This record gives sequence, C-alpha cells and structure tokens, in this order.
Amino acid sequence: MNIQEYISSGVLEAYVLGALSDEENEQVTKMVAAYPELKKELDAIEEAMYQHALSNSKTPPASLRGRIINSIPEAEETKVVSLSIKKKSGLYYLAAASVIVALFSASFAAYFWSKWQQAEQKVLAMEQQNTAIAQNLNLVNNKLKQDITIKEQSIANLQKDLSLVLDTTTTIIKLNGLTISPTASAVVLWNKATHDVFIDVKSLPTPPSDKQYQLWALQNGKPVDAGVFDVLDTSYLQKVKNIESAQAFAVTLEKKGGSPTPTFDAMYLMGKL
Amino acid sequence: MYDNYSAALYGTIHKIVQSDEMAQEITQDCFMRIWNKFTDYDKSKGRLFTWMVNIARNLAIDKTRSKEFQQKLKSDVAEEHVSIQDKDYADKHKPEYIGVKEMLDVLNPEQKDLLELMYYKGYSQSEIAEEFNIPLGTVKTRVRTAINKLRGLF
Repeated sequence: MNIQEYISSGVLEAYVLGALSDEENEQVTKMVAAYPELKKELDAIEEAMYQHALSNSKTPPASLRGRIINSIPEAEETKVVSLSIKKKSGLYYLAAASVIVALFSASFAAYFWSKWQQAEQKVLAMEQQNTAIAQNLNLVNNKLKQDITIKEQSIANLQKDLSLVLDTTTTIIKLNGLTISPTASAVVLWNKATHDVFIDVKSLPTPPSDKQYQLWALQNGKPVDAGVFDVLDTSYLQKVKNIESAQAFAVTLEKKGGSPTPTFDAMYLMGKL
Repeated sequence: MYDNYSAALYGTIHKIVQSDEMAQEITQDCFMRIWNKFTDYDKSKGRLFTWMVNIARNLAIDKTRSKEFQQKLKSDVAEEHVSIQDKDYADKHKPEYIGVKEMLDVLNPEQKDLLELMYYKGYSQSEIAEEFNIPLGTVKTRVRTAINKLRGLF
C-alpha cells in the first residue's frame, strides 16, 4: 500500500468529516494504527477542522450552560438508577446462585470427606483384623504341621515297632517284677538274626535322678551288659545294645550310665526265653 | 468540558440550523448525547473534538431534515434558506452566512461549496458527485485540497 497515494485519495478527510461508512471507518482506524505517517496526517486534518470550528465559534447564551448542567445530573441519575437496578438484579441473582452453589458444594464436600474418613478407618481396622487372622491362621497351620509331623513320626515309629513285632525272627520276652517291685513289667524284643534288642517298659518305678535302669542278657549264667534305658517315654520301644545270644533278660537299677556288673540286690525284672 | 467546547460546538450547530432557539436545543441534546455515550469514545479513532463535533453535526443535520425544521423553513424568509438543490446555491449566499472570512479568502467557490455541503448540510461524497455530475474520486481529492488549504491557514 502506497501511503502517499492513500493520503492523497482524500479518505482521511472523509473520515474526519464523518462521511464514510462504518466499514470504511474501521478500515481507516486500522490503517492509522498501522502507519505513523497516516496518524500524523490525520492529526493535521483534525487540527485544521478544529481550528475551523474554533474560528466559527459562537458563544451560546449564558442560560444554556445552567440548563445543560442541570439536565445532565438528572439524566445521569435516571440512567444510572435504571442501569444499577438492571445490574443489581442480574448480579444479585448471580451472586445468590453462586452462594447457594458454594454452600451446596461445601456441605457435599464435608459430607463426602467424613464418609471417606469413616471408610478409611474401616479399611484400616479390617486390614488389622486381616493381619491378626492371618497370623492366627499361620499359628494354627504351623501347629497343625507340627502335630502332623509328630503324628507321622509316631505312626512311622509304630510301623517300625509293628514290623519288628511281626518279624518272624523276633522273639518277644516278657519280663516280670521281682520281690522289690512285684507289679513292675516290661517286654524285650530280640531279633536273633540282626541281634537288635528293644525294650518296652510297661511299668517301673521312676528311678532317682542319679540312677538308671540297665538291661542284662544272661548267657550261660553270665550277665552281659545290654545297655541303659529310661522310663520317661514308655510309648515306644527303646533300642538298646545288640545281643548275640541269651537265655534270659534281667533289669537292675544301677548308677547313671550303667555298671560293668549288675547289682543283684537291685534286680527289678527277670524273664526267660 | 462545556466551557472548553460549547462555543465551537454551538457555532457549528448554529451554522447548520441557522436559529438561536434550535441551536440551543440541539447543543443541549448534544451535550446529553456526549455525556451518555462517553464510554463509546475511542481515543485511537481520533480526537475528542472530532468525535464531539460529529455528534453535534449529526444532531443538527438530522434536525434540518425533520418536518419541524422544514415547516419552520417555509414560514421563514425564503431568500435566506435556499433549497440545497438550487444550482445557484453558492452564488446566492452572503459571505457571513457561509461563515468564516478566512475560508472565503483561501477557498475557491467550488471548494467552498464542497465543504459547505459536506460539513454543514450532511451531504455524502457520492451525493455531491451525483449532484454536480463529477466523479467520486474528484470529490474526494477536492475535499482534500480544500482542507489542505485550511491547514495552511492555521
């Protein structure tokens, strides 16, 4: 766009004289904003028209001033009042609506917050309960496992005992109480093939803590040490020392760990093959 | 604002309506309009005075086109208020009626007519082009030349 051409077209003058359409006015406003040269030219035209108007000045009668000044506040008042009513009503409803909305959302927020808190506490309590239950379950499980292990062991032991008893090479010798303790009794299982010897105490008086019962095998009238045993656990057969041959078995009470020769005064049990 | 601009606005209005009574009435309307529409004024579009004087001119020119004005015109001395369609319009006017003496000195009759019709009668440029049977572009450049001459004055 040639600025000089634009200026000489007279469009700025027409603009100042208000002789352009709204569309043209807008275009000129844009052009003037974009080009400082046009702004300068416009200013000069406006100044000329201003001076022209000044030179045409005619002082109105003094009364006009008062009339205008008086009429303006009136007009202003009615205008402002009507505006303010309009604005007030619009703003009032808007404000009222927003206050209501705010109150609603606040109470909803509070309600849901407390609900959330309750839920949180419940979840925590349930988690604790769960942990406790899990621990208990673990305990029970472990105990059951232990029990089962014990039971399995005892079953295994019993099976072993049973197989021993059922073995055709096993000889079962019943030992009976002597004069010291007539009600005492025990059973000795002796496998002649493997020479294994087991004793199952049925009934024996609990020995003093420094003493232990000792089993003897009698080979041609001579006592042979078959090892010490306890009376604490009477459930299973206790394995003692191997014996190759015997005509009878006897039990004496000896010092702890056993003696090389039996104390005949303290003989509790005796049984012959 | 009244003190600063009333004389210039009243002068312009008076020049258009040619009546003290009407000029006062319109000046009052004009200041009311300025007061009520003041938020519409956009500094980027031009000077405050340009905005105000155009309000004044529009109000005054509207008035001259009203029935009331036309009736008053008929009852007045005909000689003073020549119809704007009159081809001899410019020649018949007395210098003081048209306005400023300086304007007369610098502007040729053609330019004088042009500004008169546009500024005080509210003719559009295309109306003037049609009226005088000259191209619109010529009207535009002539208006520019006329105002340029005014610029030389001040």
